Amino acid sequence: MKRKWIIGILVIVAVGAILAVVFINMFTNKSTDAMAKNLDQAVSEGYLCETSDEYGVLNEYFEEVSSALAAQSDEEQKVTLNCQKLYVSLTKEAKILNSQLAFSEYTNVYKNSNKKIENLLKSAQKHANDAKAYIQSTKNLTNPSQYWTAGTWYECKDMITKMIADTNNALRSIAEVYKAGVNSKLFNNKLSSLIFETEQNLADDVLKDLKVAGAADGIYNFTQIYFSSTSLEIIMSYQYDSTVKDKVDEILNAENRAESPAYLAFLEGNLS
Amino acid sequence: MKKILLSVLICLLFGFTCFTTFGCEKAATPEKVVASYDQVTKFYEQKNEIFGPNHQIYFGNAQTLVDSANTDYSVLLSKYSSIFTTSSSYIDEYMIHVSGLQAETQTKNVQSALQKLNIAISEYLKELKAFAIQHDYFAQRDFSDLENSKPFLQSYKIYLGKMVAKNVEVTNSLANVLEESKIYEVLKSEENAIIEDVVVIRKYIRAKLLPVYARFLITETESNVSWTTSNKDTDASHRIDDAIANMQTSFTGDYQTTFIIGTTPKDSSIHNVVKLMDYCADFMTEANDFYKALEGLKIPILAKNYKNNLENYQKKNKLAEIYLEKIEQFINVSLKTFINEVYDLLF
Repeated sequence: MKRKWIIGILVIVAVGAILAVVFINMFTNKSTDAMAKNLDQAVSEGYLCETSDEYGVLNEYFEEVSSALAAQSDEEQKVTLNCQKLYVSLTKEAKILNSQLAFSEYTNVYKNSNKKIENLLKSAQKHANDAKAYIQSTKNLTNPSQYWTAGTWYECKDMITKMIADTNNALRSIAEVYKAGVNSKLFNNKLSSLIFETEQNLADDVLKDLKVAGAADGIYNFTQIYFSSTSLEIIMSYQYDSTVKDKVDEILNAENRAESPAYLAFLEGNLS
Repeated sequence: MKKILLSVLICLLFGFTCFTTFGCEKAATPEKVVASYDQVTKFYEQKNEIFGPNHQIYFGNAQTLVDSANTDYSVLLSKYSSIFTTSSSYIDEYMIHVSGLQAETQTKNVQSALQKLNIAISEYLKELKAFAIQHDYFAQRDFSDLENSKPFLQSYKIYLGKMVAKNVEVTNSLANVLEESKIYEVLKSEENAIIEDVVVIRKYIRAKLLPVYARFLITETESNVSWTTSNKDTDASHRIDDAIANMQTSFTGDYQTTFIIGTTPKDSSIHNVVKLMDYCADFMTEANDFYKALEGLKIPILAKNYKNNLENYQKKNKLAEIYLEKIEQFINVSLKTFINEVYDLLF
């Protein structure tokens, strides 16, 4: 009799456990809103917003410090110029990703990278805040001395390069979430993937050695073409344009992409 | 042990019986759907003082009042009217083909689509009756003074909007049923279709596009909130007004030119139905994002609770700006490009 009761209880516990798993799975939040809100926070009012304090202060600082460094260190001046162009480029890319992320599906890619992206964006925002605070606190002390202005760079450099590196890593992961989760073929297609992939390669190349003169010119020009306010129309035109589709296929199938004429033309914004 | 297993088995059987008896409605057959729609047709005939030939709506007192006062309501009535006519004429033309879907060739998809169509028809009939009551109420009383009549006009407009929106749902559900039929399966793979086939596909896309217009022009905005008359003038209200105006222009311009006016697309040898259907499928995915943006933005809440102040609203709804941008981009770029591309393929 006692054995029967134990078996009965075990059956009920097993059924209960299965039901609990099913219900937990059903009611787990499977929306991508959390990531969309995090990115939107940075893009609409944080350090990735073109009208924010951080963006304004940092860009003004880049202008001043690169001019001040001209007489002190040629190498460091190149770093500041590259950092500025990279920062501007990543800001524009983030804006484009942000416009579609709210409409993406919940996927495993999202699930696996949500926390990481949140931490990267938080970290980048913190570095931006720290850099802004430092720049503002030293502005009156150094101005108008070019010598002392140049000196601030050695304090700021670490914060700014970390901010850029975190942003770059976050955007790479967001681009993966975008690729896996945005259903719209008008916004998520072979061309959009190629554009995000190229942006990533160009950013990585710059970050490998920030001291190379004009290292960020490529990503800066590429961003102006594909991540400007009208660039979504370029991406959207892919679905309706067989010439563009052929060009993209040619690039994707090229044995040596870097030397493919179609790829070089694509970098210049020529897809037709 | 046996007793326990037997008890569990009985419980499961009991649950299953309850579920199948009360949880699921009986499947709709083509005959049942056609019979349901016959009730709608009969209602039109009974109420011939409201519903005229070719799906004309006689607004009676409401029309006289808004015409004499020269208000925005007049524009609204004609807006609803034109969507109603377009939608109803599609139903008229294609409902008859539902009866041709034989029971033995039905798949699960057809059955599910028929069930949804049947539900859409019954909901439409309900709204149709509610609107007729509202109309009769208006006809029996004297509402010659516009100021005193505004609350009634507002209510009339809401009932009319709901009725037209449900009519559009019938059209969309009907298009979904026909899309599941065998003939469409054949048609969809045509790379060199004849004109008659293209005409059917053209009407199919026309039906699939209607909810896109109706959702924005009726359901989400004007039936929920008296948009142009009672809200504070802000940047957000201008943007939404522009979006509504652009949507309306698209409906009376591009949509009519591509899907309504004229009947025969040119030179049949160049019609690639596969391409047309691919464009349509891609666009419908895009339309789902547009619906998501409408649901996310919640225009009535922005208008009523936040007096169209988007900045304040963003404190509560962080993605409001993203949703509004999506709505604008969908109307100004996606919809326009899609219709232009379809036009180029058809004509």
